[in-house]
Amino acid sequence: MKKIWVLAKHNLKKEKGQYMAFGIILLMTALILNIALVLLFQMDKAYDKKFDELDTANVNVIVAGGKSQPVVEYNVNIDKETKTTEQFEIVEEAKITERLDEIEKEISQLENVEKVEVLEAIFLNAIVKDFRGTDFDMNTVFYNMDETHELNRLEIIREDKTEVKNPIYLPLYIAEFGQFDLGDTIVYQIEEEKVEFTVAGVVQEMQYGNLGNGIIGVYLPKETYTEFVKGREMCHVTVFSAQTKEQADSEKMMDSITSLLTDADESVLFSGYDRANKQVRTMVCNLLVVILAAFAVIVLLVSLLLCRERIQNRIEAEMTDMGVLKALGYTGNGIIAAMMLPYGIVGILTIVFGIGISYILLPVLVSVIQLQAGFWLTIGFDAIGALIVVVLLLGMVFFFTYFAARKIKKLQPIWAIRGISQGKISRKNVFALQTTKGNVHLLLAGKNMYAAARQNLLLFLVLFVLTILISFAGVLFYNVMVEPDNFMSTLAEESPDAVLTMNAEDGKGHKEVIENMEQVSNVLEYSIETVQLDKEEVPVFVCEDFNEVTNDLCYEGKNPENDDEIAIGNEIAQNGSYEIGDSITLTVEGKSASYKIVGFLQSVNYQGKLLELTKEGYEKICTENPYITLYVYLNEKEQTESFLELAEDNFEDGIVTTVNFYEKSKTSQELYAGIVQIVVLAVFLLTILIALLILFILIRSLLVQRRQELGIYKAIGYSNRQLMFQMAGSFLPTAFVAIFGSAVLGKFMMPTIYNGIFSMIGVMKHHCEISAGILLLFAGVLFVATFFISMVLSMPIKKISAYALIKE
Amino acid sequence: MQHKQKEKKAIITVKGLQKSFSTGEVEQVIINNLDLDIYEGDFTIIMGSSGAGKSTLMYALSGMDRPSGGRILFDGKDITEYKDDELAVFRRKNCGFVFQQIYLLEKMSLMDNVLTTGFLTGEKKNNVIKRAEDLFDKVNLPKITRKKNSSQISGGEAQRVGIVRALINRPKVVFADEPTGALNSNNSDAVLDVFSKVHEEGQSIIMVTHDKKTALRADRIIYLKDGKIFGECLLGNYQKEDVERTRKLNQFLEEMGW
Ligand SMILES: Nc1ncnc2c1ncn2[C@@H]1O[C@H](COP(=O)(O)OP(=O)(O)OP(=O)(O)O)[C@@H](O)[C@H]1O
Ligand SMILES: [Mg+2]
Repeated sequence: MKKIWVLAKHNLKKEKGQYMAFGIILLMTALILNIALVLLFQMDKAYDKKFDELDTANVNVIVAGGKSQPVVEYNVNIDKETKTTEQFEIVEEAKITERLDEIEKEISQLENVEKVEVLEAIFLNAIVKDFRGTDFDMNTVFYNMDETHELNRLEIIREDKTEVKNPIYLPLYIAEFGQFDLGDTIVYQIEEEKVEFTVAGVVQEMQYGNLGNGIIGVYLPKETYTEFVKGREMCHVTVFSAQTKEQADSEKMMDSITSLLTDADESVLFSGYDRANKQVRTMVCNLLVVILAAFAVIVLLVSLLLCRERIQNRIEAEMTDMGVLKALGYTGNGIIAAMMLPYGIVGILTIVFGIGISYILLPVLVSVIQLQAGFWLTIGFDAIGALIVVVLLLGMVFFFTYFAARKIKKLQPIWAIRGISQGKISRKNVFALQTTKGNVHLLLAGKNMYAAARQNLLLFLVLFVLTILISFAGVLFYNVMVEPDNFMSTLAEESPDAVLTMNAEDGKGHKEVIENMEQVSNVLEYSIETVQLDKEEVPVFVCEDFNEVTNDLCYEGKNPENDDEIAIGNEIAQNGSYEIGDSITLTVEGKSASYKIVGFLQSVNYQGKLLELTKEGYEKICTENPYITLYVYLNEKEQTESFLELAEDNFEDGIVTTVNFYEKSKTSQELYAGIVQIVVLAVFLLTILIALLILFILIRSLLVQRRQELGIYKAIGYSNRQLMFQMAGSFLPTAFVAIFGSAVLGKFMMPTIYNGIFSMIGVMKHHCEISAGILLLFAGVLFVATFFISMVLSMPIKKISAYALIKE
Repeated sequence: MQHKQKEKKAIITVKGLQKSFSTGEVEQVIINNLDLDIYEGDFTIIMGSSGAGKSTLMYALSGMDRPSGGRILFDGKDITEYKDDELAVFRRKNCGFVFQQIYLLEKMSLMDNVLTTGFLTGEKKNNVIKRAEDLFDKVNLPKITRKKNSSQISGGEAQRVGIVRALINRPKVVFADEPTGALNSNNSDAVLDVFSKVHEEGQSIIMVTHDKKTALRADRIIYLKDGKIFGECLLGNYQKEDVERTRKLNQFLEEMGW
């Protein structure tokens, strides 16, 4: 053992640089892998833990109307000219109370229901002013937080108890992402009215979490709530929350609750269940885990290939020494152990170190993730993750080094001493100078390339994979930073630059005027309405001409073109098992019409629960629309603000509301841009670093191996520059083929990779563009970097004097 | 004779040459304040006991290694002042070197070993190839052997390849460090004849040898001892091995304590 230790120490000392490079790669692998594992293990656990801790309901369904609402019924006989509350007739209050109690009882009797709770709240679409610098409209549920409830409890994480006007408690997502601090004022614009609240606290809840579901809750202390409700009685809703029994399927539960409600003639405004919610909220985290895991695998592969290469190289270079050692009586296993030991030592140290560093980097990632997830994610040391990293990586290293070093056993001392190569190293004289045409330096580079075939193969593999990595990053970069519309339209719906809502009478005329304004490129009548489908309220996108929209949501079939055609969201299609060609009946305020399904739609925000109708189609069931909504597309997006000001001045009389949609989508884009920036930068640095390390190891070992040869070249009159070119040149063709080959292949492969990733988050069709230009650009940068790195790394050739060969 | 020698032009002039190696803490002086002229067109032979510093001197003269001190003028230019790449160009243009350990490039044929040097000067490839074939013929290296790889040949074959490589660019000075060490007498004679022929054509030769028979070919013999020129012997132009020449050499070597 002592002998082995001495040998191992000698090995370690002799090639410090090599082991260091190997160590750095291993460190990165451990780091990345550990981050991925910690996120994988802890995000899920933390989510479930918080979910249970706060007794979150598995299913939440919101229906219109509530006990304290003056109960009304739509009266068709009333004059339709003035659409006011007078249209509604107050029915007896007792009735609805009875009805809701009845339903609650029925729900609690459903199979698998553990517990039901009914809460009253106000639900409306409100625009949050100055949300990260823009106006952001969200479907918001305003709760009375002092009403006792056992499910969906809140956890107050920050609170300021000083007396303030209109205190409000915001969920983490709005507070953090919208940048609202305690004591700040948050302004909600509800229709034309502005309501101001003071942020008194920030809460964590697991019911809504983030806007991914298109809905979020805010919480008002009793007095604020009572004040807020005044005049908004019509917006009362009842939230049915149900906890399922262990193992029960919450999606099925949601379906049975909604059908129970719709059967009772209640109109369902929202329904959601835990799994879907979790998926939306952990999307970014899961994406990160996948990307990081892919990274870790690649980097690990590189490091293993390298360590194999290193050992083989060493065996070749030191065969004589090893033969002598054998002749002196060392056993094969002893020599192998001495070979492996340094890798083991370097391995353990760097893996542990890598795990350590990962815990320094994790908070940065976590801060991005929790912003999106909408809950406070505390990461603790993950012993299992660390154990997996250590065992897996060390195991792989030992396995690979052993396999590479195994040869030594078969080594006969006499072969080694006589320098008889056991390998099938070809003695072929490739690129024979006598017969091959061409520059002598190029030919010699060719000879070197052939001689270093194994190294070149390794380089090829590594660069090929690295190029896939940076191509991936490049495409992501392009679609999020350069052409953000591509990415955003994948996640969002139709995104104009400005939205104008006008009175119907004025709107028609104004539309033409706006169309002719010089900064305007297009104007579309487009609105999001609500219709009843199987007694459930479903959003419907109504547009005068779907051929002109910029974001085609349709992933199968086509958009509706005639008044009897409809396109439906994938969720609706699945639930009702509709096929293209089937017909479907919609109702608005008692009026119904039936439509033929011509296409399927996707939407991340609406989770596939949406419809598309042409304007004429919608008018079949709703003739009376007091408003007209115009989507305005500008030539210069940046001028949206000034356009809106101009419009407000010009059409003062007709305009009801305006939305700077451009700013709004920029805000949501920021959420992704931040993450993408981190990912792209990390991939890029990592790629270059790996390329650098691998070239370092390859060139360094070649320099050692070819020391004498280089000396001979120098002695017969080759200059340093010529030799450096020869050395670097022998890797460039490989690098070129690997990098550009991979980039070209990437053009065809990337769509598959992207489809896969997006389908993981429920996107059937994405709009990301696989731009050949960006692929070539990134590949070009990598190639140039490779060239310079190899030239710089070949520099030590200068230090080998012609005389050095005599010393050998 | 002495007089006649002086009329020759010195191609290499060495002044106060110093070379020492430090191995650990001990500094070992191998060449100590050595002065020497090598004349153009001369066949100079360096002799001395093993470890006397013959190879060390050759490496210094040919610009393979930098001396610790002193000056080496080649054609009047001080090569000790050259930068690395200038030295490389200098070697390429002026020196051919047959190494004691030969040092062929592995992984390529013998022919390519020679052409690797030959193609460096930018001369027409065909001319170089033709000259290489001629030289191979002259040193009796069969055609099939030339296609072999440097790791597949005998020591004597390797030595002859080393010689062809040294001569391929018709250097002003041919350095040869025991070029006949591994050759049998027949091949040794053939190789020496090549050197003599090259010498007749006007190239200068500096050769290290332990072999008296080889030494007889020299115009001038220099004996190295204790880091200095211990003595020298002028034999004059070589025609054939005559008794007088042999006697003179024997006497010189005896004086030197060889
Ligand atoms: N790089 C070196 N480091 C230390 N000592 C060296 C080095 N190179 C040569 N020497 C020493 O210098 C001395 C002269 O070596 P050199 O090779 O010149 O001898 P030589 O006269 O050619 O001998 P031989 O006839 O055996 O070839 C020797 O003692 C040798 O050990
Ligand atoms: Mg010697």
